[in-house]
Amino acid sequence: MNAFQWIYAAYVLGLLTWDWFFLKKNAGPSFKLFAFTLALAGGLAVFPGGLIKLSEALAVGRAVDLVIYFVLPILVRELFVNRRRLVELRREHTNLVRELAKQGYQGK
Amino acid sequence: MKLSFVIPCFNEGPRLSQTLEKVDYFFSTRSESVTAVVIDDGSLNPVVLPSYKHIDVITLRHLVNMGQGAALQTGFDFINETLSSDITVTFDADGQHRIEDLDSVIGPIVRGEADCVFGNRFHSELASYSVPPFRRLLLRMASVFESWLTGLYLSDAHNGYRAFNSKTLSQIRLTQNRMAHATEIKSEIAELIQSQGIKLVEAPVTITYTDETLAKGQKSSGAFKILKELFDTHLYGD
Repeated sequence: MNAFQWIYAAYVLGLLTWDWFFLKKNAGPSFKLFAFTLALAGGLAVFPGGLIKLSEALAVGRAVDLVIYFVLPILVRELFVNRRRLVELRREHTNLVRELAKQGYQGK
Repeated sequence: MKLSFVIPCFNEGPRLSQTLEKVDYFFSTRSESVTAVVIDDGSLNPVVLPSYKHIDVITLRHLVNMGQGAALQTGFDFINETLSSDITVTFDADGQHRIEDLDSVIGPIVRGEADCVFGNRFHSELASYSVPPFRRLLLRMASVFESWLTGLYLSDAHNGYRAFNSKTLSQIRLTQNRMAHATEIKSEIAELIQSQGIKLVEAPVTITYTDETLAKGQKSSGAFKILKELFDTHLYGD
Protein backbone atom coordinates (compact mmCIF):
# COMPACT_ATOMS: atom_id res chain seq x y z
CA MET A 1 0.00 0.00 0.00
CA ASN A 2 1.23 3.46 -0.83
CA ALA A 3 0.85 6.59 1.30
CA PHE A 4 -2.41 7.67 -0.39
CA GLN A 5 -3.98 4.28 0.19
CA TRP A 6 -3.07 4.41 3.88
CA ILE A 7 -4.49 7.91 4.20
CA TYR A 8 -7.67 6.99 2.32
CA ALA A 9 -8.17 3.83 4.40
CA ALA A 10 -7.75 5.89 7.58
CA TYR A 11 -10.18 8.49 6.26
CA VAL A 12 -12.90 5.92 5.52
CA LEU A 13 -12.31 4.15 8.80
CA GLY A 14 -12.55 7.49 10.62
CA LEU A 15 -15.85 8.28 8.91
CA LEU A 16 -17.22 4.86 9.76
CA THR A 17 -16.19 5.16 13.40
CA TRP A 18 -17.65 8.64 13.72
CA ASP A 19 -20.92 7.62 12.09
CA TRP A 20 -21.11 4.45 14.18
CA PHE A 21 -21.36 6.60 17.27
CA PHE A 22 -23.34 9.57 15.96
CA LEU A 23 -25.48 8.37 13.03
CA LYS A 24 -26.23 4.72 13.70
CA LYS A 25 -28.80 5.37 16.42
CA ASN A 26 -31.29 7.19 14.18
CA ALA A 27 -30.42 5.71 10.80
CA GLY A 28 -31.98 2.28 11.30
CA PRO A 29 -31.08 -0.54 8.92
CA SER A 30 -30.00 1.97 6.27
CA PHE A 31 -26.85 2.48 8.30
CA LYS A 32 -25.73 -1.04 7.36
CA LEU A 33 -26.03 -0.18 3.67
CA PHE A 34 -24.18 3.07 4.24
CA ALA A 35 -21.42 1.32 6.20
CA PHE A 36 -21.12 -1.35 3.52
CA THR A 37 -20.79 1.30 0.80
CA LEU A 38 -18.09 3.13 2.75
CA ALA A 39 -16.24 -0.13 3.42
CA LEU A 40 -16.49 -1.05 -0.26
CA ALA A 41 -15.10 2.36 -1.28
CA GLY A 42 -12.22 1.91 1.17
CA GLY A 43 -11.62 -1.64 -0.04
CA LEU A 44 -11.54 -0.61 -3.69
CA ALA A 45 -9.08 2.19 -2.97
CA VAL A 46 -6.75 -0.08 -1.00
CA PHE A 47 -7.06 -3.08 -3.35
CA PRO A 48 -7.80 -1.58 -6.76
CA GLY A 49 -6.61 -4.59 -8.79
CA GLY A 50 -9.99 -6.33 -9.03
CA LEU A 51 -11.79 -3.19 -10.16
CA ILE A 52 -9.12 -2.42 -12.77
CA LYS A 53 -9.49 -5.91 -14.19
CA LEU A 54 -13.28 -5.62 -14.21
CA SER A 55 -13.21 -2.26 -16.01
CA GLU A 56 -10.80 -3.66 -18.58
CA ALA A 57 -13.03 -6.69 -19.09
CA LEU A 58 -16.04 -4.43 -19.62
CA ALA A 59 -14.00 -2.12 -21.88
CA VAL A 60 -15.04 0.87 -19.80
CA GLY A 61 -11.62 2.45 -19.56
CA ARG A 62 -10.24 3.41 -16.16
CA ALA A 63 -11.51 1.80 -12.97
CA VAL A 64 -12.63 5.19 -11.73
CA ASP A 65 -14.89 5.59 -14.79
CA LEU A 66 -16.65 2.38 -13.87
CA VAL A 67 -17.34 3.76 -10.40
CA ILE A 68 -18.52 7.10 -11.79
CA TYR A 69 -20.89 5.44 -14.27
CA PHE A 70 -22.65 3.67 -11.41
CA VAL A 71 -22.51 6.30 -8.71
CA LEU A 72 -23.29 9.49 -10.61
CA PRO A 73 -26.80 8.54 -11.85
CA ILE A 74 -27.70 7.34 -8.36
CA LEU A 75 -26.54 10.61 -6.79
CA VAL A 76 -28.33 12.81 -9.35
CA ARG A 77 -31.50 10.76 -8.99
CA GLU A 78 -31.33 10.96 -5.19
CA LEU A 79 -30.87 14.71 -5.44
CA PHE A 80 -33.88 15.12 -7.71
CA VAL A 81 -36.15 12.75 -5.76
CA ASN A 82 -35.28 14.30 -2.42
CA ARG A 83 -35.65 17.84 -3.71
CA ARG A 84 -39.04 16.98 -5.17
CA ARG A 85 -40.07 15.36 -1.92
CA LEU A 86 -38.90 18.45 -0.02
CA VAL A 87 -41.15 20.64 -2.19
CA GLU A 88 -44.11 18.33 -1.49
CA LEU A 89 -43.40 18.30 2.24
CA ARG A 90 -43.12 22.08 2.25
CA ARG A 91 -46.52 22.36 0.59
CA GLU A 92 -48.09 19.92 3.06
CA HIS A 93 -46.43 21.80 5.91
CA THR A 94 -47.82 25.11 4.64
CA ASN A 95 -51.33 23.66 4.35
CA LEU A 96 -51.09 22.23 7.85
CA VAL A 97 -49.93 25.52 9.39
CA ARG A 98 -52.64 27.38 7.45
CA GLU A 99 -55.42 25.03 8.58
CA LEU A 100 -54.23 25.23 12.19
CA ALA A 101 -54.31 29.04 11.97
CA LYS A 102 -57.91 28.97 10.71
CA GLN A 103 -58.98 26.30 13.19
CA GLY A 104 -57.34 28.32 15.97
CA TYR A 105 -59.61 31.25 15.16
CA GLN A 106 -62.73 29.12 14.90
CA GLY A 107 -61.89 27.52 18.26
CA LYS A 108 -62.03 30.92 19.97
CA MET B 1 -69.67 47.79 1.48
CA LYS B 2 -67.62 45.11 3.21
CA LEU B 3 -63.93 45.87 3.16
CA SER B 4 -61.19 43.57 4.44
CA PHE B 5 -57.52 44.11 5.04
CA VAL B 6 -55.00 41.31 4.99
CA ILE B 7 -52.04 42.30 7.16
CA PRO B 8 -49.22 39.77 7.46
CA CYS B 9 -46.83 40.43 10.30
CA PHE B 10 -43.70 38.88 11.73
CA ASN B 11 -42.10 40.29 14.89
CA GLU B 12 -43.58 43.73 14.21
CA GLY B 13 -43.97 44.65 17.86
CA PRO B 14 -45.54 48.09 18.43
CA ARG B 15 -45.49 49.00 14.71
CA LEU B 16 -48.52 46.78 14.09
CA SER B 17 -50.54 48.45 16.85
CA GLN B 18 -49.62 51.90 15.51
CA THR B 19 -50.68 50.85 12.01
CA LEU B 20 -54.02 49.49 13.23
CA GLU B 21 -54.66 52.59 15.32
CA LYS B 22 -54.20 54.74 12.20
CA VAL B 23 -56.54 52.47 10.22
CA ASP B 24 -59.11 52.58 13.01
CA TYR B 25 -58.94 56.38 13.20
CA PHE B 26 -59.23 56.65 9.41
CA PHE B 27 -62.53 54.76 9.46
CA SER B 28 -64.00 56.81 12.30
CA THR B 29 -65.62 59.09 9.73
CA ARG B 30 -66.55 56.46 7.15
CA SER B 31 -69.38 54.02 6.68
CA GLU B 32 -67.68 50.85 5.38
CA SER B 33 -67.83 47.64 7.39
CA VAL B 34 -64.14 46.93 7.91
CA THR B 35 -62.35 43.79 9.08
CA ALA B 36 -58.58 43.59 9.41
CA VAL B 37 -57.28 40.04 9.21
CA VAL B 38 -53.87 40.05 10.86
CA ILE B 39 -51.77 36.99 10.14
CA ASP B 40 -49.15 36.56 12.81
CA ASP B 41 -46.57 34.61 10.85
CA GLY B 42 -44.93 32.83 13.75
CA SER B 43 -43.74 35.91 15.66
CA LEU B 44 -41.55 35.17 18.66
CA ASN B 45 -44.09 36.93 20.87
CA PRO B 46 -47.60 36.07 19.67
CA VAL B 47 -49.61 39.09 18.57
CA VAL B 48 -52.20 40.20 21.10
CA LEU B 49 -54.35 43.12 20.00
CA PRO B 50 -56.98 45.20 21.78
CA SER B 51 -60.39 45.73 20.27
CA TYR B 52 -60.83 48.80 18.12
CA LYS B 53 -63.75 51.18 17.86
CA HIS B 54 -64.33 51.36 14.15
CA ILE B 55 -62.83 48.17 12.73
CA ASP B 56 -63.00 44.49 13.61
CA VAL B 57 -59.63 42.82 13.97
CA ILE B 58 -59.17 39.08 13.59
CA THR B 59 -55.81 37.50 14.35
CA LEU B 60 -54.78 34.21 12.76
CA ARG B 61 -51.54 32.71 13.95
CA HIS B 62 -49.09 30.61 11.95
CA LEU B 63 -47.39 28.42 14.52
CA VAL B 64 -44.12 28.70 12.59
CA ASN B 65 -42.81 31.37 10.26
CA MET B 66 -43.89 30.49 6.72
CA GLY B 67 -43.23 33.69 4.82
CA GLN B 68 -45.27 36.61 3.56
CA GLY B 69 -46.73 34.75 0.57
CA ALA B 70 -48.05 31.97 2.79
CA ALA B 71 -49.46 34.50 5.26
CA LEU B 72 -51.28 36.39 2.50
CA GLN B 73 -52.83 33.18 1.15
CA THR B 74 -53.99 32.24 4.66
CA GLY B 75 -55.71 35.62 4.85
CA PHE B 76 -57.23 35.20 1.37
CA ASP B 77 -58.54 31.73 2.26
CA PHE B 78 -60.06 33.02 5.47
CA ILE B 79 -61.77 35.93 3.74
CA ASN B 80 -63.10 33.70 0.93
CA GLU B 81 -64.40 31.09 3.36
CA THR B 82 -65.59 33.22 6.26
CA LEU B 83 -65.96 36.91 5.50
CA SER B 84 -66.97 37.20 1.84
CA SER B 85 -65.77 40.79 1.51
CA ASP B 86 -66.54 42.98 -1.47
CA ILE B 87 -63.00 44.32 -1.59
CA THR B 88 -59.83 42.96 0.00
CA VAL B 89 -56.76 45.12 0.48
CA THR B 90 -53.28 43.81 1.25
CA PHE B 91 -51.53 46.14 3.63
CA ASP B 92 -48.14 46.20 5.37
CA ALA B 93 -48.00 45.97 9.15
CA ASP B 94 -44.90 48.13 9.50
CA GLY B 95 -46.43 51.46 8.52
CA GLN B 96 -44.90 51.67 5.03
CA HIS B 97 -48.35 51.95 3.49
CA ARG B 98 -50.45 55.04 4.10
CA ILE B 99 -54.10 54.46 4.90
CA GLU B 100 -54.75 57.90 3.35
CA ASP B 101 -53.99 56.27 -0.04
CA LEU B 102 -56.85 53.81 0.39
CA ASP B 103 -59.31 55.65 -1.83
CA SER B 104 -56.74 55.75 -4.58
CA VAL B 105 -56.33 51.96 -4.30
CA ILE B 106 -59.95 50.85 -3.92
CA GLY B 107 -61.49 53.65 -5.97
CA PRO B 108 -61.21 51.93 -9.38
CA ILE B 109 -62.92 48.80 -7.99
CA VAL B 110 -65.68 50.81 -6.27
CA ARG B 111 -66.34 52.68 -9.52
CA GLY B 112 -66.38 49.39 -11.47
CA GLU B 113 -63.35 50.38 -13.53
CA ALA B 114 -61.15 47.52 -12.32
CA ASP B 115 -61.19 44.09 -10.68
CA CYS B 116 -57.83 44.51 -9.07
CA VAL B 117 -55.54 47.41 -8.32
CA PHE B 118 -51.81 47.42 -7.70
CA GLY B 119 -50.16 50.33 -5.92
CA ASN B 120 -47.54 52.28 -7.82
CA ARG B 121 -44.92 54.27 -5.93
CA PHE B 122 -43.40 55.56 -9.18
CA HIS B 123 -46.47 57.52 -10.26
CA SER B 124 -44.60 60.78 -10.66
CA GLU B 125 -41.03 61.97 -11.05
CA LEU B 126 -41.11 63.46 -7.56
CA ALA B 127 -42.54 60.31 -6.00
CA SER B 128 -39.87 58.20 -7.69
CA TYR B 129 -37.14 60.20 -5.97
CA SER B 130 -38.55 59.39 -2.55
CA VAL B 131 -37.47 55.78 -3.11
CA PRO B 132 -33.84 55.05 -2.15
CA PRO B 133 -31.76 55.05 -5.38
CA PHE B 134 -30.49 51.47 -5.30
CA ARG B 135 -33.94 50.12 -4.48
CA ARG B 136 -35.37 52.23 -7.30
CA LEU B 137 -32.91 50.72 -9.76
CA LEU B 138 -33.58 47.20 -8.51
CA LEU B 139 -37.35 47.62 -8.74
CA ARG B 140 -37.06 49.02 -12.26
CA MET B 141 -34.98 46.02 -13.30
CA ALA B 142 -37.45 43.68 -11.60
CA SER B 143 -40.32 45.30 -13.52
CA VAL B 144 -38.64 44.59 -16.83
CA PHE B 145 -37.62 41.06 -15.86
CA GLU B 146 -41.03 40.15 -14.49
CA SER B 147 -42.87 41.59 -17.47
CA TRP B 148 -40.79 39.24 -19.60
CA LEU B 149 -41.59 36.37 -17.22
CA THR B 150 -45.30 37.00 -16.69
CA GLY B 151 -46.27 38.98 -19.78
CA LEU B 152 -47.62 41.75 -17.55
CA TYR B 153 -45.80 45.06 -17.18
CA LEU B 154 -46.31 46.95 -13.95
CA SER B 155 -44.45 50.15 -13.13
CA ASP B 156 -43.88 49.00 -9.56
CA ALA B 157 -42.73 45.40 -9.40
CA HIS B 158 -43.08 44.69 -5.70
CA ASN B 159 -45.67 46.98 -4.20
CA GLY B 160 -47.63 45.20 -1.49
CA TYR B 161 -50.49 47.71 -1.47
CA ARG B 162 -53.08 45.94 -3.60
CA ALA B 163 -56.85 45.58 -3.77
CA PHE B 164 -58.99 42.81 -5.24
CA ASN B 165 -62.70 42.37 -5.70
CA SER B 166 -64.18 39.12 -4.39
CA LYS B 167 -64.27 37.41 -7.80
CA THR B 168 -60.57 38.02 -8.39
CA LEU B 169 -59.55 37.17 -4.85
CA SER B 170 -61.27 33.80 -4.96
CA GLN B 171 -59.13 32.80 -7.93
CA ILE B 172 -55.75 33.70 -6.55
CA ARG B 173 -53.76 30.75 -5.25
CA LEU B 174 -50.31 31.67 -4.01
CA THR B 175 -47.90 28.76 -3.71
CA GLN B 176 -44.76 30.85 -3.26
CA ASN B 177 -44.43 31.13 0.48
CA ARG B 178 -41.80 33.82 0.54
CA MET B 179 -41.05 36.95 -1.43
CA ALA B 180 -41.45 35.36 -4.87
CA HIS B 181 -45.21 35.55 -4.25
CA ALA B 182 -45.09 39.11 -5.65
CA THR B 183 -44.04 37.72 -9.02
CA GLU B 184 -46.47 34.83 -8.74
CA ILE B 185 -49.43 37.10 -8.01
CA LYS B 186 -48.66 39.06 -11.17
CA SER B 187 -48.41 35.87 -13.14
CA GLU B 188 -51.82 34.76 -11.83
CA ILE B 189 -53.39 38.12 -12.62
CA ALA B 190 -51.88 38.00 -16.12
CA GLU B 191 -53.56 34.61 -16.63
CA LEU B 192 -56.88 35.94 -15.35
CA ILE B 193 -56.63 38.91 -17.70
CA GLN B 194 -56.09 36.48 -20.59
CA SER B 195 -58.71 33.91 -19.61
CA GLN B 196 -61.44 36.03 -18.02
CA GLY B 197 -60.73 39.55 -19.11
CA ILE B 198 -60.39 40.92 -15.61
CA LYS B 199 -59.31 44.52 -15.44
CA LEU B 200 -56.17 45.69 -13.66
CA VAL B 201 -55.09 49.25 -12.99
CA GLU B 202 -52.18 50.79 -11.13
CA ALA B 203 -52.92 53.41 -8.49
CA PRO B 204 -50.62 56.08 -7.11
CA VAL B 205 -49.48 55.39 -3.54
CA THR B 206 -46.71 56.69 -1.33
CA ILE B 207 -44.42 54.33 0.50
CA THR B 208 -43.09 55.69 3.77
CA TYR B 209 -39.48 54.69 4.23
CA THR B 210 -37.89 54.92 7.64
CA ASP B 211 -34.54 53.57 8.82
CA GLU B 212 -36.44 50.98 10.80
CA THR B 213 -38.55 49.69 7.91
CA LEU B 214 -35.60 49.74 5.54
CA ALA B 215 -33.55 47.70 7.99
CA LYS B 216 -36.33 45.20 8.57
CA GLY B 217 -37.82 45.11 5.11
CA GLN B 218 -36.83 43.25 2.00
CA LYS B 219 -33.08 43.38 1.40
CA SER B 220 -31.73 44.08 -2.04
CA SER B 221 -30.03 40.69 -1.93
CA GLY B 222 -33.55 39.27 -1.68
CA ALA B 223 -33.74 39.65 -5.46
CA PHE B 224 -31.42 36.65 -5.81
CA LYS B 225 -33.50 34.63 -3.36
CA ILE B 226 -36.60 35.42 -5.38
CA LEU B 227 -34.88 34.24 -8.55
CA LYS B 228 -33.88 31.01 -6.83
CA GLU B 229 -37.41 30.42 -5.52
CA LEU B 230 -38.86 30.96 -8.99
CA PHE B 231 -36.23 28.70 -10.53
CA ASP B 232 -36.91 25.98 -7.94
CA THR B 233 -40.65 26.12 -8.61
CA HIS B 234 -40.04 25.96 -12.34
CA LEU B 235 -37.81 22.92 -11.89
CA TYR B 236 -39.67 20.97 -9.25
CA GLY B 237 -43.21 22.26 -9.56
CA ASP B 238 -45.55 22.94 -6.70
